[in-house]
Amino acid sequence: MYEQLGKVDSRPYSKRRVLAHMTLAQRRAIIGLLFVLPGILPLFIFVVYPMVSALYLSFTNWQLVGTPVLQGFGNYTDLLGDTQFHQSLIVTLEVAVGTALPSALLAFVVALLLDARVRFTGWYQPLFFLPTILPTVVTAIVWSMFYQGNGIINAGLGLAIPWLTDARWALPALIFMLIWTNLGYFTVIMLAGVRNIPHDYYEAARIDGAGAFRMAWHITLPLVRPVLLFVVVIATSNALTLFAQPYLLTQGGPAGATRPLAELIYDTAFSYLNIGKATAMSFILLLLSLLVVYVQFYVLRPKDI
Amino acid sequence: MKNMTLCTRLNASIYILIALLLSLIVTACTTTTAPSNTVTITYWTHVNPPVNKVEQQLIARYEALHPNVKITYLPVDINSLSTKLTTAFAGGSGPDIFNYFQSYAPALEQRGLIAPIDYTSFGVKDENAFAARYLPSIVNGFSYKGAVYGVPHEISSYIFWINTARFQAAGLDPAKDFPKTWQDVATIGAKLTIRDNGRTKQEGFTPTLYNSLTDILNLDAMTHQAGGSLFSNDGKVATVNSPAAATALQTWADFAHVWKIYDPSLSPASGGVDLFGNGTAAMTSYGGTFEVSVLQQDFPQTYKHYTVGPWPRFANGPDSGADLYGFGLYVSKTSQYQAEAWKFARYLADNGDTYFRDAGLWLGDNATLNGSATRDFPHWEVFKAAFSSGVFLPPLTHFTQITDIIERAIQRSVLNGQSAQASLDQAQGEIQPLMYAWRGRQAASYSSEEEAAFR
Repeated sequence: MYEQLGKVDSRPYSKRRVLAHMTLAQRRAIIGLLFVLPGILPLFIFVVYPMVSALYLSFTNWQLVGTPVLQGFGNYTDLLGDTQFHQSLIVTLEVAVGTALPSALLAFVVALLLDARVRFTGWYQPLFFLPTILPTVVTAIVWSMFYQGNGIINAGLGLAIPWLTDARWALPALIFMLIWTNLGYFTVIMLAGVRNIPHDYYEAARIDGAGAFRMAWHITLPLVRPVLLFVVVIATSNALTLFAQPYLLTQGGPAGATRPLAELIYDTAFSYLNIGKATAMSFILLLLSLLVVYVQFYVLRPKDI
Repeated sequence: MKNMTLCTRLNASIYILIALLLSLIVTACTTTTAPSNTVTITYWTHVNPPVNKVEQQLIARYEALHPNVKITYLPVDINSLSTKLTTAFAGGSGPDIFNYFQSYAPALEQRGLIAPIDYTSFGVKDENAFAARYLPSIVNGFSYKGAVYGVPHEISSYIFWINTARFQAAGLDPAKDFPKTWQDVATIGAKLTIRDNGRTKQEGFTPTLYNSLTDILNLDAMTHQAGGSLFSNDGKVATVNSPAAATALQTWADFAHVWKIYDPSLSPASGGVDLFGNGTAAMTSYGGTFEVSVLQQDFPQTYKHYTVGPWPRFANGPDSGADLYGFGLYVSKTSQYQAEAWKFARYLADNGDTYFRDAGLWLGDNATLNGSATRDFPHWEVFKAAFSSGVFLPPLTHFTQITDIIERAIQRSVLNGQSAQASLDQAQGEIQPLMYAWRGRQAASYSSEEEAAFR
């Protein structure tokens, strides 16, 4: 058929002639590309293009209005001596460390308890998930009331701790709220992983005389490792891009003690109008995220049992 | 159609589709370029329900008076107005006229986004004639590099508020014991503070916190009262770590740490603006004319038991009160209807009485200050004295960044207990490079003589 087409239209470089000279695989590749184009095109427009633009802008001095002026690595070198950037970077890492592993382990423990099918499990499960479906603004307002000097926590425990207005307490208070917020979501994921493990393994272990702790340690934990990795990566990703909760709870205070990098990037871009510096910070955050996730994948990679 | 091949039919469909698209584009273009006598002016302001209601009524009246003018009115949340405005300008759009906090305006002027006032719209020839509408110090707050850019549209200054019922409960006389100095605030505040098991039940005094705008205004005012200033008058030199500034901040921090009459943990993030209203705090240094209607509507109990007086001073310090601050009407330099926008600004500015009577907002004009609308306003003489003695912050091109730096310095001392001098030294180190950047050169390139000349 293609030979016939070639005979019908013998003009040099015509479309039909080009198609005629293609192999079947090439033609299929083009057709395939045309089919996925509606999916790829938005990805290029809304993800790849903005990322490349942001990378370019990170080497410029641009104040949102006017033309960006190239200045090389100036924004990156400025960040080396920027105390606010250092403080926010440390806060971001502290939140990541403080939330990722504790969230995953707590979710694992709660999932084991829920899997034990004790009485009223049907009631507990929605309760654990409730914080996840609450709007962030509501959660932050409620917790800011709890954390007030004369709030329910101090009154209930007979304490007088300035939870959100003391730099020593503000970050732990924020981390606790974040763990509480995401526990239900991570528990559901972990529970799915736990319930996927064949019961034969436990029966065999029980016959061999293994107790509940040994079964959890030697059977459940190794087999939910991929789920654990997923939870840790998601929790870390949430922590590295954290913005709303500290913004609502403490506005980054006291004195920047709870201001994560995402909030500093937002302020630098849209309040201080320093787009070049903000995009440079974003790329450092991106590289940091990739590095952290790589380490997590390496440490929690599947191993032979 | 039957005789047409699949290819021919497809081609025909494509041609029809292209023809349809072209006709749509032509129609759209024709619609947008249709000649019209109506001028549409976009006006952005911040959300303030009583004021927004007044302005909607004024706009309706203006449109009735000028049938060829249509005003598109958009109140925006005050916290996002700055970002929305800048991104709109960056995108080549933005309002024709907007209401904006005057300290943000120098940054817009620096980027060439706002136009100087068209005095002819106000029926005057020059700045002096325009300034005569207002108190002598008012127009300074809207001037930059020798030109006036904003029409004063909301002017305020803080005075000192006490809860008379709390005073009487503590055995104090609200008139006789009204604090005149910051030392008085500490002494009287101690008598008003009530604690239970280490937790504060009633604060003697609450200043603001967590609001970088009000906090820089308070620190600047207290620094003036201590005999110094945070910035030079032209805004080109920062002296935020001067001894006067350190005295001011240390006093603020001592309310929490030494005299313990102020408990910041009672209102994290919200800054304590409601604590006086809900009766938790017996005294506050926050609030202008707007606070009267806030108390009346939201805190009727405190509204029955409040009185006001001048801001306290430092003993033996200069006799100055709180800073002046305000919002102005600015016209976009890119607007194609600048003349119409200034005329509309003039119309709003001429309705000072309506703004004050219906929304408690003073536009800074002499006519309202001494007119009938303000005559019956509670404690008007106290407000009037504050307006007459206050000064504005100087123009700062990196205002947002500087206020954030100052806010962190305040929080380091007031919340974390760091010494005011050390905290302000750090702030000075962060602010000075911004000043150098504004002057257009690197810090190292300035000789000591040049630096002295700036000072």
